[in-house]
Amino acid sequence: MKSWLTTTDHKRIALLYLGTMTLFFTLGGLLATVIRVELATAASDLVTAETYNRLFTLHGVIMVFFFLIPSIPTFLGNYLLPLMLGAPDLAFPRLNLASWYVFVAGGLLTLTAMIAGGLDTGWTFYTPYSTTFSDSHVVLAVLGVFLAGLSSVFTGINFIVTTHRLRAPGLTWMRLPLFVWSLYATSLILVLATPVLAMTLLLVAIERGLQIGIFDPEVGGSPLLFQHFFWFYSHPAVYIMILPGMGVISELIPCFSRNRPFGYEFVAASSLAIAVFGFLVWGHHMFVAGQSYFASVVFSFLSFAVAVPSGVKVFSWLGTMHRGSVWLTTPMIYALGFVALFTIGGGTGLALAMLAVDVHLHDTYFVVAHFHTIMVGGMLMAYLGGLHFWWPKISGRLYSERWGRIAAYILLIGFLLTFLPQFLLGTQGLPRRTASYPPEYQFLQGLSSAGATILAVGYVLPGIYLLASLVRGRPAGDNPWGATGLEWQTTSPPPPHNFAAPPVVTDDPYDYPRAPQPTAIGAGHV
Amino acid sequence: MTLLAMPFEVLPAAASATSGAVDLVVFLVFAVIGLVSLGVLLAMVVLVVRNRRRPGNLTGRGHDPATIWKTELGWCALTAVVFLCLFTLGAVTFDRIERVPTGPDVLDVAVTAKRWMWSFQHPSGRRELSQLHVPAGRVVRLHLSSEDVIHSFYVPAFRLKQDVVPGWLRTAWFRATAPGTYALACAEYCGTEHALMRADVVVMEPHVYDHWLAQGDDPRPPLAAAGRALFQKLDCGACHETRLRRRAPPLEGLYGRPVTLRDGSSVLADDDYLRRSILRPDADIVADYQGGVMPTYAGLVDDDELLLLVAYIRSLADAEGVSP
Amino acid sequence: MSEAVREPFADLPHQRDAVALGMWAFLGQEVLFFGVLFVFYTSLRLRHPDLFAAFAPRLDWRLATAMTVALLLSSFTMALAVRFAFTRARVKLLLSLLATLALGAAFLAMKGWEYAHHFARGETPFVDLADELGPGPGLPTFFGLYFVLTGFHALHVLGGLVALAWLGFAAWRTPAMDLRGSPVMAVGLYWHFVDIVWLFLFPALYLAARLT
Ligand code: HEA
Ligand code: HEA
Ligand code: HEC
Ligand code: CUA
Ligand SMILES: [Cu+2]
Repeated sequence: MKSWLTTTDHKRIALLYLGTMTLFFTLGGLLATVIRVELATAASDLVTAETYNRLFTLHGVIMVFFFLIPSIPTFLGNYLLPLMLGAPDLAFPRLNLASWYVFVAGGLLTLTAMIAGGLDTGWTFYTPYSTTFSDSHVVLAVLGVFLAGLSSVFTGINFIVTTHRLRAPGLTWMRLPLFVWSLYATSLILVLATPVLAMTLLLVAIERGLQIGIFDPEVGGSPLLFQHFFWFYSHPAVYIMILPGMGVISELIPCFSRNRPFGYEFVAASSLAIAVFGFLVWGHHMFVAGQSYFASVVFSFLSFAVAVPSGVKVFSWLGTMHRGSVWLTTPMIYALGFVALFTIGGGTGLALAMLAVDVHLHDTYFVVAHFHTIMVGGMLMAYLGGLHFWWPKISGRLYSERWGRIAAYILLIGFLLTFLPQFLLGTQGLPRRTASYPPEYQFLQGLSSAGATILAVGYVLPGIYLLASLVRGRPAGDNPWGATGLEWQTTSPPPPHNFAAPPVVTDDPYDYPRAPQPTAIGAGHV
Repeated sequence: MTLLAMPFEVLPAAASATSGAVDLVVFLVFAVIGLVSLGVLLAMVVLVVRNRRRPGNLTGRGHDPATIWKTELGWCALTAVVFLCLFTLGAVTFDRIERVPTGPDVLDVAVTAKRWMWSFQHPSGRRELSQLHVPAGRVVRLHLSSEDVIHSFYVPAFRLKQDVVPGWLRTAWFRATAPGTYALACAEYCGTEHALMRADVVVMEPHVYDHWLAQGDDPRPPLAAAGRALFQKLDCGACHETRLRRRAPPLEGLYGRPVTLRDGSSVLADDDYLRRSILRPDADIVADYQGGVMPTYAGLVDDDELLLLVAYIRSLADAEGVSP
Repeated sequence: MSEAVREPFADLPHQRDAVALGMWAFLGQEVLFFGVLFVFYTSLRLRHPDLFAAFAPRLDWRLATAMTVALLLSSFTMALAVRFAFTRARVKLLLSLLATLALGAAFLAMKGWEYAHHFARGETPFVDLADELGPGPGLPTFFGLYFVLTGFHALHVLGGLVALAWLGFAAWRTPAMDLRGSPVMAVGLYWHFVDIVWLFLFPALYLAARLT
């Protein structure tokens, strides 16, 4: 126990994160479950409106700041980055451990706020509601999120320095795995966007705690300034959430197509392009908030521009499967699910980026469906895909492939049933964040709640069979998928300093045509 | 059957002059998304089936770099063109629905949002709560203000949404096409009863509306007249009389026109500008005039009185004979 | 402060490089952190220029000039410290660290005096409910801005002082031959950054009324 809490081994820290985040995800999911049960009927009968507002706020805060943003970077990234670079650890191992402690402290503060009576501002903390009118525990929650942000910044700095300074001999930039590229781009956003949120939240806390008017229109402040600050962080943050997922997919698809990635340079460059352009589009959350017409037009235009590199990714993934040998394993099912749902979610993002359309759809269930399609349908699929792909490396065991596939399909079906109806609810004009709604929306809301039940089953299943594999699974061997990449050249799980001898890279990445054949699941056949 | 028919209708029935244009764009972009998504799905199914792993196809065959560059760049160009079209379409339609019409026939309604209800005041001074009666076929111009937090004025049937921000005065408009009752919802989360912050927009035939208006039993003077009284009480005319135009700019014909400021920039004299000019005269100083002359009225007039003053200046929009 | 080569680095120059890069990345995020404050400042100034004309003269620019001088001098002694750390001149290193510490402390002392002074004169950000004019942009707004901006800066100075004290303590206990520069260099970068922030705050606040 003590050795775990004082470890500086990046692999153990990654597992600490995995445990912490699974707890947060379960909590966030339970909140979502109550939300869906409440919404199954039109009246607010299960919980009061007041409680409902606390439910979706905490659901959003926990899922975004304590699950999705740290998910892939701090777990898979922490675990794999040094392995993929052929390094013994991250550049600053003790800072890495400190990040985890700060993260946990932030989580505990937020949980304290939750137990003390909750938070009802929505995950967006809009002023002046959050500073003056809400009587929930804003200051505590805001400080909790601030700490989570600080932890993100530390992680980002660590990743950037590691990528620059700890690559194995011969591992040039153009030989980096695509996952590393996406982590690098993510880290840039983490370091350059998070401080803006951090300061903004501190200002909210100061305004609320000390009664100093900063965003308060009564004393000359501007609530819109808050929105600009918040989205200046939170739009790039959605790319913090999706880029690592894209990186995972860029590993999975070449491996299970047994093929080189189509357009390696394009995929790598598009990660950077998304990171850079992502900073310029925040105003598309404020089309009807009263920013100037000119600003709206520019932000709309740039939102479309940032979609071009996203399209490059989708195209390249399809291209990789072309002339490949496609092997539909559990991780690959998740990867394909990601591609499909990311296209739908991203496409609906484009609809929202269209000025006239957003006037109608802003702050309706359409937006809720848009981001759940990308975040749950996309990013969570990528997370699970990555978890399954590297599970043999991390645990040294193979999980039940059959249950893996069953769970993946259940998740897909549950997902579609839960969130497709919400698109229609949105186009029909149902605002989000409403505890009760007019009866005409009953049918679709009911459908969505039914879907959520299936979704919940889909999330519980992997928890069971992955844990079971720890005791009953077959040993995985060093490289069960026959994958390229340095992480597969060491034992499963890797020894404390990762490699018996420091590796030297002589080849381009993803040389799948010459990679060893897989040893898992029927040795090379379907 | 109605139960099934209703939930799957994509958009609520269109009921304003601009909803048709919006609907067209919505369907267009949905068609593009649908097509692209189906295309991606189809491509994946075909690739999974045709290239599935089987004896004889155990390794991929790689790609020719030249093809990669050509197709990737082609794809970028293709998506860029599609995106540009979508963007332009959205922006042009936005322009159409955002530009507030002016003219003598426009009906001005002051809207106040307060947790958790909507109240309205007609030009005649008649007030109503949670119900807004308007005539069909006439442009209704809304002047929105909030007394506490941010709310959002949302009428799905009109495809109209505008946030109401405390401290600012926002303008929005619609022209209802058919009589009926339409739901108005608050779209911006504003606290406990946000879900219940709803109201009805009752659109009536113009003569029915006139009748309704005549029934009004509210003895309050019409907005503009009340504003005028206040204007006199505050003695704004001490400077703003037309004949004193050397001292202060005349306010006749100001509303809705662009104003040139001392720093050379130009702003539209809308509600918010008037409000600012009264509360913080030195924020925007009109060309050819001095800053620091007009005192600030912040703290002297409250939000309601401000609405009156603005209504009065608005009523001078078409006043004659004062163009400089 | 003996700078052993730590996991995961193979050699010292590599590690030193990494520490510098890490510090630069950290400063990059600090720029955005303070960036928010400067955008807040700009927004307020554009919307309420009158506030600055009215209240900026109440700030004591002479005192602020003295503070500026203290910080500039401390940056100079800090640069010396970095140099001495690399040349392993332990006594000189200790002296220049001490000088930096003293100048930084002097800055904070003046800042504290200034704060006390403003509080004594009622120049605080707290909205006075008894004020018959009611709320509205006014003195509390301006001093809210002033205290928030200078407060965050002062906190950063304080953090720098702690780091300096720690460096001094470590240098005092380390034999001269073991002295190596990278922690001093990292703190040095940070200290210069904090100094630069002040160089923006000084004209933005104290000279605001004069520069229009
Ligand atoms: C991981 C999270 C994530 C990601 C990646 C995105 C990606 C995008 N988002 Fe989304 N978004 C959110 C999470 C995310 N979003 C959240 C959480 C909110 C709500 C916040 C709140 O208010 O609570 C939101 C809200 C939101 C809004 C504001 C809605 C409103 O409140 O009114 C807008 C408007 O422009 C928008 C646009 C976009 C766009 C254009 C993209 C693009 O990056 C998408 C690009 C991808 C593609 C387009 C698909 C792939 C492309 C192709 C296959 C090419 C061919 C395609 C076509 C020709 C169609 N998003
Ligand atoms: C990463 C982000 C994320 C994720 C994963 C989710 C997941 C889900 N969300 Fe969430 N959601 C948000 C981010 C997210 N959400 C945000 C940001 C908001 C906006 C908040 C706001 O407006 O302020 C929101 C709002 C939101 C709303 C709208 C509320 C409203 O506007 O009134 C709804 C309604 O249906 C909803 C539903 C769901 C559902 C059904 C899931 C499901 O996918 C959840 C399924 C999960 C479970 C059911 C848990 C089951 C798992 C276990 C029990 C674990 C077992 C594990 C082991 C044994 C190891 N969410
Ligand atoms: C002491 C003189 C004085 C008084 C009293 C005064 N104003 Fe003004 N007002 C000015 C001057 C000078 C300007 C032009 C400079 C500027 O824009 O600040 C001006 C500008 C304006 C403008 C902007 C006009 C434009 O052309 O853009 C409005 C609106 C306005 N005042 C309304 C009012 C109202 C309403 C009152 C009374 C409640 C009032 N003023 C009282 C001197 C005065
Ligand atoms: Cu008012 Cu929501
Ligand atoms: Cu966004």
